[in-house]
Amino acid sequence: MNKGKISLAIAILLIAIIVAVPVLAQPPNIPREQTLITGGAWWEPPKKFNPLNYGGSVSGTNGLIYEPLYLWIPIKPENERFQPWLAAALPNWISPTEVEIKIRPEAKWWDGSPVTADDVRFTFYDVPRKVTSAAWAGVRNYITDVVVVDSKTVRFKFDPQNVNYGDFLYQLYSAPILPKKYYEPYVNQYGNELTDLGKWPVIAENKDPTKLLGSGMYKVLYTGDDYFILERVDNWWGKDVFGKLPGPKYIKGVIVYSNQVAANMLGAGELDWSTFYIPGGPTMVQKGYVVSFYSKSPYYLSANVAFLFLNTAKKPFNDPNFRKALYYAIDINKIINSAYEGAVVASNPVGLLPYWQQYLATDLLNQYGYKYDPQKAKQILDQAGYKDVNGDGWRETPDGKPLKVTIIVPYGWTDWMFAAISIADDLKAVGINAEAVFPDFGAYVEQIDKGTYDAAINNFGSFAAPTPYQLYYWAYNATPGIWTGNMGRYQNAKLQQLITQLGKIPPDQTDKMKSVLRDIQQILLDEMPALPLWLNGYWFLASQKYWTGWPNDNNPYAVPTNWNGQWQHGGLLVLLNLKPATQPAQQQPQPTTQPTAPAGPDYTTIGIVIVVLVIIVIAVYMFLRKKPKKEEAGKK
Amino acid sequence: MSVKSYILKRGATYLVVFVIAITIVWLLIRFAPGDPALTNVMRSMMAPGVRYTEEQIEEYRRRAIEFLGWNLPLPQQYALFWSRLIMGDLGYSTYFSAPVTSKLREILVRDLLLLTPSVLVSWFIGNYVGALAARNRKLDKFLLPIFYVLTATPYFLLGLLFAYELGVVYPVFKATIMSSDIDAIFTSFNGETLTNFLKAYTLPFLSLTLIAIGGWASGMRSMMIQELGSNYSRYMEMLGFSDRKIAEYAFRYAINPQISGLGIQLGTIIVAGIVVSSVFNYPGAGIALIYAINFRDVFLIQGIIVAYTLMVIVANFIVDILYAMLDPRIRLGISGV
Repeated sequence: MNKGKISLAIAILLIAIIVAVPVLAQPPNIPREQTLITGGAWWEPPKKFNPLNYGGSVSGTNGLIYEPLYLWIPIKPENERFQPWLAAALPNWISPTEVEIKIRPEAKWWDGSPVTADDVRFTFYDVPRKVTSAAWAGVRNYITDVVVVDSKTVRFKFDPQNVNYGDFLYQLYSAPILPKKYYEPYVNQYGNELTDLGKWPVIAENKDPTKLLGSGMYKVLYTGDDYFILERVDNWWGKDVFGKLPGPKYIKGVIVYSNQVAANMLGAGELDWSTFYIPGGPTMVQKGYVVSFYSKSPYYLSANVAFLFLNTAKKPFNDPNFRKALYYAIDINKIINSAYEGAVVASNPVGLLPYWQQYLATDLLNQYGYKYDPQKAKQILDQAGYKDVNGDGWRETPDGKPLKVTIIVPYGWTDWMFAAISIADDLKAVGINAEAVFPDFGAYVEQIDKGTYDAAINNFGSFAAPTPYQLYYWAYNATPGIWTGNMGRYQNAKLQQLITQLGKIPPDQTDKMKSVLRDIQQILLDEMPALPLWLNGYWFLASQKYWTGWPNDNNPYAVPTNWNGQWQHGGLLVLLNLKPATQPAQQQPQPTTQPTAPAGPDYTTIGIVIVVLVIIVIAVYMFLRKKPKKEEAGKK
Repeated sequence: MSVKSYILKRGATYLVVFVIAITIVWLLIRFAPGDPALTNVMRSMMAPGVRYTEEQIEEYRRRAIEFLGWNLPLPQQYALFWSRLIMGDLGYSTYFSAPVTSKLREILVRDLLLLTPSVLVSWFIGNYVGALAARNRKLDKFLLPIFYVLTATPYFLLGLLFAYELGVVYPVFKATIMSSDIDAIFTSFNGETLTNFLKAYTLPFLSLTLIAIGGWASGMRSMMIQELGSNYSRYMEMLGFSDRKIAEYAFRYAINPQISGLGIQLGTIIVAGIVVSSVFNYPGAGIALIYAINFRDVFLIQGIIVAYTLMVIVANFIVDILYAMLDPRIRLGISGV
């Protein structure tokens, strides 16, 4: 009968599968109790461990394998934020153009050789000049020399004309110190090609990341397609300095496609440290499944500013009155309460993060008094000539042309999608024809880069840094483009000059910093070049099933993030402070707390069980019926 | 027409289909919105604070364009694409940092491992149950609503429900499946890795199979009812054949469209792969395709589509051949009964 032939075809197919099974590398077997499972900073197969291009490499390359001179922890008081890591003490400013930094005598590479002044010079002087595409290569514009004073002391010399303290302070905790003896041959031979991730997935012997030489707490043990495993370096130099090794023996980083999957993993205890944006995260905290930094709203620390960029190269966005009217028209709290469940906070109108509170010109803010006020928005629009002339219900531009605002956010970024819809609704309420559009990420990037968009939500370069210089340079001063900044293409010579000046103020002159920032804020309030909406959080949720000791409001020793380039905000300290949960069995009865929630899910469980049972019964019935049929066939 | 010439004819048709389909895909990727070179630049500087000058970005972009070969004239690109394809070279995936062909092999194995058993199990169970339901009115009353509920349930909903209820609230199984769970049984097969694998494998398999059973069963049920009411069934009934015998013949006719359906299902498992990937993180072609599109990994998109188009075509071809062997009317080109 035909079934025989089908079965044969299937058998051939199955054999083909087994034959086709590729030879796979043996993944190591690691005990769960000693492993920290983390995710949220990894979105592609972890193959790239290239410190010269840490932005495009696996998060942790910079921080866990290669270490910076300092940590910078924004939630600490101003004068405690810089914490020496490879460096022995805070930078010693000899003059505004010369700074001396000492390296810890204990600091050494994994092969036992010391981290020396030569390595620091190599990192800050040679690499930027030979690999001009390295992430910190911009320092070559102002660091004229790095002098090796002795084996553990270096002096940086700056060009007084071009010096950029804003950038230098950032690089002090961001640039990974590299072993000169290991990297020099590569740097000399390949130059700029080293950052070409297509050609050089990893800089190591035979492109094997387990053969890298670093100085950090962890080294690569195994990399798969959707996970990787790091192993603790038990003779790490910091053991003597900090008095301990990091808690987890292994770190397993997981690459998960959707936040929903991450939420399930977190709930099931398969994920310990999550920096995903988890929808329903606050609810999970309330139910006691996970912990967050704050035990109540806003739950998360503020990480960066989400702006609504307006394309000022286009009409009517070149009109400050129009932009201001938009700011009055948008109800930011509506977005926060609904899209974010109250887990983020609204930004002030100048986009300064809480860590820069001291620079905030509160008198100016009060004077301008920006707030959500649709009536005011209508009034401004009327005065500026944006009126509904043709009677279609929507306002036209002063010269009578139809007016439409399209707000773009990437498809699938659900929180932003909701925000864009909410903003469009708010604009419609004041008579502006607005629409939220969701191109996929590639198309979103292209529209912003080419300047063909109207309005877009973005936060790519607005992260916390030692001074607001980085943020303002990115938002208003850069050459326009998605990866450089200034997406609104806003041109204002006065503002740009002030931002450049901001970068040149030595770190100790806070009064001067304040006065320049005051001038900048004045312009921003006058012009509203981009609309600061809310402060995105350092999404952090942790399960205490296997690891305890997470930082929180009462013990704010670190920003618990492991995002790329941000381990230095405290992620490294989190690892040092984690302790295995003493009674892992205690968490077992946790699911029984579930019935306090609405009883709904229990019915669905019963439903599923019934469906499964029915299927089984049917299957059994089917097989019982099959036999007599065969007998009959036999008789034939 | 002999079987041989029939096969040749079908083969030629499928070859034309393949060339046209691949060409359309090739064109679509080139003219879709979004700039792969720009997306490539993004991947080099994703960390906050990493900032490049305009020249650096231009340099990255130039390299990305050269890597894609998009600096060449279009006809030359097309010729290059086919010549490479014939040599079995699908390019280099920037997402996986590996040649596309070697990655496809792994992905394909994982997909077949999950989806083939699921399609087959649901096909057999669905057809039996559907045929039973058509013959037994009491059973039918009970089963029909179940079929309809199963077919009407959106897959991701059932999947999420399974993952949450059986993976999180009552963690009998694992809510996600990672490549480590699958790879482990190939590299070191023992009790522990097998248990681990089954724990992770059960939910994706169960959810896919359950949904598919509904579709097969309701299809089979209506087909059987139609056949049982046809003239030959009534004639057999008049001649005094037993119900069972009549059903056996009806089943032979009713199963034919289901076989071609099976061929299509086996070929289009990538569609199921995409949903199962987003619910359980199944490391198959679905998830790779989503990432490839997001990251504009042109060679990987092309590679996956070429491979899976080929699978659909081969599956259909095999079904055609089987058909021709089972049913001479098809190869002889006779229509109507």
